[in-house]
Amino acid sequence: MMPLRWISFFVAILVGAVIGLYYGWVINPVQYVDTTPASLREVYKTDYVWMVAEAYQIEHNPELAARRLALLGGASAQETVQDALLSATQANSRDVDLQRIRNLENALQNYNSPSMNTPPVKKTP
Amino acid sequence: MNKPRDVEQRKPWYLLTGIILGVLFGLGYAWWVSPVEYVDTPPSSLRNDFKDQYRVLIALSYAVNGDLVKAKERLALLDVDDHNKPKDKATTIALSSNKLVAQAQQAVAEGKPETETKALGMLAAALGQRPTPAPSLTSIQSSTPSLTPSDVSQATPIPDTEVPDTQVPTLSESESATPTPAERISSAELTPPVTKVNTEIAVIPSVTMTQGQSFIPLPSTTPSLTPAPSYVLKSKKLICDPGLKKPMIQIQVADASQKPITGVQVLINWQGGQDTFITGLKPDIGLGYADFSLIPKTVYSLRLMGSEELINDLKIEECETSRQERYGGTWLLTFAPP
Repeated sequence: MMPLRWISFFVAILVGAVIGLYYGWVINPVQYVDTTPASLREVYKTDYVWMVAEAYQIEHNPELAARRLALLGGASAQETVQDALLSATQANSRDVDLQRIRNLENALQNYNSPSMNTPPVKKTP
Repeated sequence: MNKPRDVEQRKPWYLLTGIILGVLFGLGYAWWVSPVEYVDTPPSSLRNDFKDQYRVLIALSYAVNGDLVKAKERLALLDVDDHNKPKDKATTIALSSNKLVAQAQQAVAEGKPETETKALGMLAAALGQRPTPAPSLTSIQSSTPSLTPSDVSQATPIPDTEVPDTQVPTLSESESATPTPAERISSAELTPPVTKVNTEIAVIPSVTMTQGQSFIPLPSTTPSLTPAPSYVLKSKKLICDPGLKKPMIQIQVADASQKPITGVQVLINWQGGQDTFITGLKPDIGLGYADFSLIPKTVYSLRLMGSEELINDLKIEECETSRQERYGGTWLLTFAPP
């Protein structure tokens, strides 16, 4: 094979790779379906903690709250709540909202959060 | 002498081979070696059972803070379609409402806690585009025998519309960056609300807002600590309507001013079984409406949750058409406070 042909061959491979990468990354990228709350964007995770704190106001069930928070995949439910409380405090949130998160934090102090292994995310190329 | 001619006539298959190899390499790299990573996923990508849990949290949150705008925002993020193409607001709200109704019915059937079923029912009713009664904290607080003074102080949220410094975090799919919670909250442009004068929901608020976009919070319903009223049977009628496909018990619950009450749980018993259903899950018929299909040759007794009155001997009564064809009639039971 002449050198020109080899060059053309490798150029063709490069062109093909570019086409493949463009198709795989842009046109039809891997789509993550059936994700878990642990992969949520940070802003949604914080909102999730707020909702758990509000739900705790009427359910008064620290075990249920801890189980919900465990889905976020933090080190512990307490830490997750403390992070949310810090964010809320820095944002000068309303006292009533801060109090709800503190209530949840206090309840979790007397409860050991369970470790929850969330199932793996399915990938569909 | 023929060899050079063969080389000249040979088609450039090596180029095609190169492109195919390149494409395979590219796809393999893009899909397996370094696929697109979705670390900051939106709620819409959650698995269905996690979506159900998320929906329950939205409903419980609404039951506590009465903020329908926020509940709609959260539901809109959850119920966008699989390709993340935002639907129009009305479609999204209708879709969310249907999902809430279905989930509430399933929760009742599965014997999930009353707090959950009522919260789902109330939010579904609130999304029915009509003003709804304020969610009563105690009405869904059956699992809580008593409220301590501290609980009371915490459980009485200040209505959003009466607090000038209300911080209403906004959520949007269109946020391209990943803002910190503090940024998110501070980025919500706040409009000092006016004093609440009208609780009627007149406008369907925007469900997706970009950062910096302002919204005026609608007057939100205010959770109250008013004790849930008990109801008594006001009327019991047999409806003979051949148009009804099957014999049923229909329940209508209203307050003293004839305003329909949603979220009232109904317990029904028969020999060898029992079930519960809840008012407000069919907002197209009525916010205080619920129904239960009857089985022939079965006698039912029925009671509203929180009420002592037991309605006995409910069974299919026969009706007759003008052509003397027989069919099962439907019982209409109307309840109201004593």
